[in-house]
Amino acid sequence: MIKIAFLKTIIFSLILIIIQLIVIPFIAIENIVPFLPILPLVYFTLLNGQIFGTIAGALIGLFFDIISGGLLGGGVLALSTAGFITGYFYGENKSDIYTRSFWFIVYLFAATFVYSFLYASLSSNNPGLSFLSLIIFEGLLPTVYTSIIGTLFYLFISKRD
Amino acid sequence: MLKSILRYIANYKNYFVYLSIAIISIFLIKFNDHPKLRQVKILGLTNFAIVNYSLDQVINFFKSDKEINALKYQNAKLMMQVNLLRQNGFENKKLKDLLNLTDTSKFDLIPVNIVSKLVSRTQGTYLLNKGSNDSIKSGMPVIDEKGLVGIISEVTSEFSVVKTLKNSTLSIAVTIQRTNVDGIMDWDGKELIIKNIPTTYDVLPGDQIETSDFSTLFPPAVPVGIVLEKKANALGLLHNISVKSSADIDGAENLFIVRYLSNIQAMQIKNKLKRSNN
Repeated sequence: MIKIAFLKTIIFSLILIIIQLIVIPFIAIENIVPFLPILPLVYFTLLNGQIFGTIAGALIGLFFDIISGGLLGGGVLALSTAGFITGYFYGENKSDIYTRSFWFIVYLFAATFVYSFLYASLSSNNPGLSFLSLIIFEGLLPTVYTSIIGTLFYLFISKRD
Repeated sequence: MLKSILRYIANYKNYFVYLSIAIISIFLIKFNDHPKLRQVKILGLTNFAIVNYSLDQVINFFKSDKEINALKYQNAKLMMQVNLLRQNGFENKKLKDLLNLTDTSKFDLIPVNIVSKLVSRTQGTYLLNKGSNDSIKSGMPVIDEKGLVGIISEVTSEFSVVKTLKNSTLSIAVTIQRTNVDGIMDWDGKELIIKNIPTTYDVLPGDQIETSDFSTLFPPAVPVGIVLEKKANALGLLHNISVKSSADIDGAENLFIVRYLSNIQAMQIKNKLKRSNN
């Protein structure tokens, strides 16, 4: 069961990574873009637990780093940390409540913030970049954008049920 | 003893998994420029670039932009020439004749399309549809019809990666054309900025900025941008200059790679000097 979920997470994320690099730049607002590959990571981590999230996050991060031509290892650490943090919200009997309620958006927000902030901190070697700028422009704004897209994803899932 | 260690690990396995991944990724970050890691990156990049390129072809199927591309190509060539002429033309030409240096207006331009973009506030990176098969090499400058866009950082046989001006790891030696004030321009995550220019220097909003003669990465006199504003630092002795890039970096689609390799030129000049000394 977990193997199938793992495969699903990787396949969905790979598709979303390609969309992220080809289509998403067209909807960038002042260089701020939503980060789609985190959606399946958060969703399946809430269903399968912390270790699942950490390993899946690392693999998605590795694919993202290789495909995007960005800093190799930056995505691995940032996404595995996001998966690890999301894993704290995993509850064996509460998975359905977590993934099919408004809480999903809250967890997505937390995971995306951790990812965006860590990835920007690791990939930027500019000492002029202030901590506040990292928090707001690199962390918070992409997180809000991703959460808006996540809300649409959540509405799609809840309507399907 | 062993049993209790194993039990301990089993109890905290999630932390151990995370810690192992964190250590591996820190190693990856640390040795990011290692030739073997670069090879892995290039291999992955090539495979996925093919997928990206095919998708891009489908998206652009209905666009007939051959004529526009040709005009953009012509514009880019003219832009390079005009800017060179603008720059103290006569005296410069004399000096160049004396030193027998290459003429930058004769640089060959290779038209390329963007296959995918990594849009981030600190890491502007684009994937281009031409690589070493078209004699593109790492370190070549990339321009559009208005000015400098970035520099080639990785090359595969079919594709190449360009680090744009909006990448915080790229610093460029620039000159303010009107007054010949030199500085280093960086992307700070919000804007392009030239730091620590003395307040006594004559810099005005609207002044043209171009690549410096001292640049080890770019050919001289490539338009970079214009001065937006001057901001004095805390002591008031120095100021930082905000720059608006000439090139449309965010909206870029068709770019040109300048067939220029700074190190090769430097080697040629060194050899010439050596020969003349002998």
